[in-house]
Amino acid sequence: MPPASERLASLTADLLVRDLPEAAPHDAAAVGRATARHLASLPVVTRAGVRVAQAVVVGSAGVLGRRPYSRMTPQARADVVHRLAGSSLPLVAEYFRLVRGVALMVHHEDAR
Amino acid sequence: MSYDVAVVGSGPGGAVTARECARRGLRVVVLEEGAWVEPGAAEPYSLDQMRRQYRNQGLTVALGRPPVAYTEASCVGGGSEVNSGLYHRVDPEVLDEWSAAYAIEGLGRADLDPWFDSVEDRLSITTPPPPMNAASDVLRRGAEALGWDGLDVPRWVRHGASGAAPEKQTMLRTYLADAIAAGAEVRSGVRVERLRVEGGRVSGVETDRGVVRADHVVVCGGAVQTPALLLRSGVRRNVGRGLSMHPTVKVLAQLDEDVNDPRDLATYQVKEFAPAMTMGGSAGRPGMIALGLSGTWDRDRELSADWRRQSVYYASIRSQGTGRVRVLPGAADPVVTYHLTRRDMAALRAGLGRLMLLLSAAGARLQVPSYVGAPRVTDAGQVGPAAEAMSRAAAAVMSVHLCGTAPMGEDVRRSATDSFGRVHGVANLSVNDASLLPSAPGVNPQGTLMAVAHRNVDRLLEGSR
Ligand SMILES: Cc1cc2nc3c(=O)[nH]c(=O)nc-3n(C[C@H](O)[C@H](O)[C@H](O)COP(=O)(O)OP(=O)(O)OC[C@H]3O[C@@H](n4cnc5c(N)ncnc54)[C@H](O)[C@@H]3O)c2cc1C
Repeated sequence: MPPASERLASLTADLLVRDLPEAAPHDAAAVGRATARHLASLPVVTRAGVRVAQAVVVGSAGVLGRRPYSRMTPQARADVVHRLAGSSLPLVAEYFRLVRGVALMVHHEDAR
Repeated sequence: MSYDVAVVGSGPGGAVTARECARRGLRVVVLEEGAWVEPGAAEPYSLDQMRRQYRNQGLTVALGRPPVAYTEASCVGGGSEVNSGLYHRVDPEVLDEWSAAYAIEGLGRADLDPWFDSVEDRLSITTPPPPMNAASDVLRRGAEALGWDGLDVPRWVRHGASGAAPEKQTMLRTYLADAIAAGAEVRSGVRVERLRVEGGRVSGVETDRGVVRADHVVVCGGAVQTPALLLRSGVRRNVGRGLSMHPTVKVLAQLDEDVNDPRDLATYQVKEFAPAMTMGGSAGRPGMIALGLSGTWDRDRELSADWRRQSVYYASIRSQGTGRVRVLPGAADPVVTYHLTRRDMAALRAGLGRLMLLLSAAGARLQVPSYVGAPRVTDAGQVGPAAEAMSRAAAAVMSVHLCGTAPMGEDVRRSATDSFGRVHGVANLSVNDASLLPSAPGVNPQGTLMAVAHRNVDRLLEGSR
């Protein structure tokens, strides 16, 4: 998986810690990967937009968590991602709207 | 290899074209980018179906504020393989409106009625026998309580033995089967990159598998891909500009009884405000229910466990706004934009409000409109404020009916083709799909575009006799 997709999978899994508290970590990680694969089919321009939004998300996570996203503990990542997903920051809010919608579909469909 | 006719795209427009040309003895090839998926092989409305039969796995969006999520099929049979099969004849007033605005010849209801008859016959258009499914009955109850007009919409399905699932009469089962029986060749997994246009004529198409030569090319790629292909090929006059759709907003309703059959949806439509606005039912698999609640997930996550008592309903409008399809050099996907006017937003709010009133009247005790941060609605008094609160920033708007990107007509300042789909300025090139309809017609469009496609190909073949 390319690095941008891996990051997307990780952010999705972090989002699911609160969104689907009943999901085991390995299930959340699997949904994260499937969501990233699905979103890789976005049309070119939208995909580029999502990448930009993701960069803003990761940057904002670093500011909120006071250290780079990749160096945070899983708990800290989940907290920060939950806060960002509930924010109304442009790009960030839209990013999580898209990711959450696809992840919920994937979770409900692929689990069946 | 050289053919009399190359048809680009195998959706309803392409399938009608291929069948009629092959039946007249012409050598026909249909080039379809998507895969060949037997009807029924992918579960309807499922994520698996999106992955196998939709373009970009269903993740397409028209940019704007709000953006409009739209979907296009990409498979042999096009939209007919994935859609709900709801059939209408277009209102005569809409045909008159189009004819006047674009100077279209021969597009009155009397001109189209024989073609509608023919489509209805081949697709076995029928109203399902009673009883209505539970999700439909909710709409019927609400409409009756409010004295609003509605109907159980006819569909292209065949009802088998009792208990057997009805068989949708998709293009693969009907028109494409006929085309193949008459000698047409259907090639799946072949993308047409460009048309070879030179000196006002087209000599064939360039595909990702090589060049296909043909005496006549008919582009039937649907309302987004048809203009994209024309633009990539340098055919630009009035192409890609007038994208028109039925913007749609949704509400999740919870009833006291089980209403959700994940394999099907409500076929009843409320037509009290038609053609300006229609209300009906959407697919309601658990994943769709969760998606419907995703704008309020923190609050409503527990509701999704009760999905059997829930169903998703929609209000869709005839929009005043328009959009555009553009191509970027080197990019495979076109860029699509759509602008909802103020009046459109007001109509969507009004639609949302009326839909919630109807569902309240039908006995829904809990409703959640599908927009970010929407309130829960538990009585009719809360409907107005909940509808009014849908802002551009929060709205979740979608559409599956796209038209208008290569409009037909004799007015060369506005149209891309003549009244019968022949592209202005390129002698042997036609368009024969939803792109020709000048605007979204206020009813589910497939029946109308098929009747128009029949009429056009008949005219084309008359000319070649
Ligand atoms: C989920 C959904 C539900 C719907 N429900 C209804 C309904 O109930 N009733 C109704 O009347 N309408 C419905 N519609 C709309 C209806 O399906 C469309 O209006 C109709 O399919 C449009 O037909 P078309 O021939 O214009 O194009 P399409 O059906 O879009 O077919 C175009 C085909 O061309 C192929 N193609 C495109 N470009 C190329 C290329 N460059 N090379 C090769 N192939 C290409 C595509 O892959 C596609 O298969 C629905 C649509 C959807 C998506």
